[in-house]
Amino acid sequence: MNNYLQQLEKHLTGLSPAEKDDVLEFYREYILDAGLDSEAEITQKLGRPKQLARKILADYSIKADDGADTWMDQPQQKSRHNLRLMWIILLALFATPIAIPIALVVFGLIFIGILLIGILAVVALILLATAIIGGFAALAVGFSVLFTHFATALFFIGIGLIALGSTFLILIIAKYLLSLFVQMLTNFTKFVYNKIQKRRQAKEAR
Amino acid sequence: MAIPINTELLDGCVLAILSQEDYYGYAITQLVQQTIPISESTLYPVLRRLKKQGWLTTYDKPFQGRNRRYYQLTPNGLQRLSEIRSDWELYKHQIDWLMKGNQDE
Repeated sequence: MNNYLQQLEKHLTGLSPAEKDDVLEFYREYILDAGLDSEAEITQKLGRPKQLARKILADYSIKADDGADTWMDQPQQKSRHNLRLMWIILLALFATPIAIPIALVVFGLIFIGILLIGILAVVALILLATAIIGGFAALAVGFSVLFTHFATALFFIGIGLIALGSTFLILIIAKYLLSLFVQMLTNFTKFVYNKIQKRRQAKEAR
Repeated sequence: MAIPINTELLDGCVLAILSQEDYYGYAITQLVQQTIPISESTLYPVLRRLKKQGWLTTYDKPFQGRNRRYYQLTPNGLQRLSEIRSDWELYKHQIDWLMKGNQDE
C-alpha cells in the first residue's frame, strides 16, 4: 500500500503539500477500510497510481478553472494557467484506455493549434525587431543629416518615430491575439475533456 | 443502469446519505454504489468539492490505531440538499409525464 501511495504522490505534481496530504490521507484510509491488501487489488479497484493521479489533477484544474473569475484580471497568469490545464487534460486523455484513438486526434489538433500560436508569436517578434531596428536606423540617418539637409532629416526622424511607436501597437495586438488563441484552444480542450468524461461515465454505468 | 448520473444528482445523493448520519469515505462510496455504479475513484473529488462549498465538514475519529475522517452535513449543506431534492422532484415528474406518453392531455 505504501508503495502505491508513494507512486500516487509522485504523480500528483502541481498540488500544494496540504492538498497532496489530503488526497493521500483519503486514499490511505480508503485502502485500509476496503481491506485491499495487495498492490494488485488496489490497482484493480483504483487503477494505476498514474491514472488515479491524472484523474485527480484533471478534476482539480477543471473545477478551479470554472470557479475562477479573478483570473480574468491577470491575462498572463490566465495564459499560463490555461497551458497547464491543457497539458493535464492531455495526460488525462492518454490515461483513459478507451480514448486513445480519440486522444491521438485531439492531440494532433491541439498540436496544430500550438504550432499556429507559435508561428504567430514568431511573426510578431520579427515585426517587432524590424520596427525597432528600422526605427533606430531611420533616426540615426535623420540626425546625421540634421544640419545639412534639414527637410530630409525631419522626414527620416519622423519615419523612425513612427516605426518605434508602432512597436507598442504591435505588442498590444499580438498580445491580444495570442491570449485569444490560447483561450480558444483551452476551451476546445475543456470541451473535449467534458465530452470524454461523459462518455466514460456512461460506459462505467453500463 | 445505462443512464449516467450528473454532478448535481450525485451531490444530492451524498448529502442525503450524510443527512442521516456521519460517515467515512469508504462507507459513503459503498452506500452510493449500492444504487449507482460509480467507480471507486469518483467520490474523492465530490467530497472535496462539497467541503469546499461549505456543505459539509470533516472531523477525525480514532479507529484501530489510525484515524478515520468522518463527513458531517452543515446547515448550508442541509439547505442545498433540500434545493436539490425539490429540483429532482420537479424533474422526476416532468420525465415521468413524458415517458408515460401524456403529451396529448
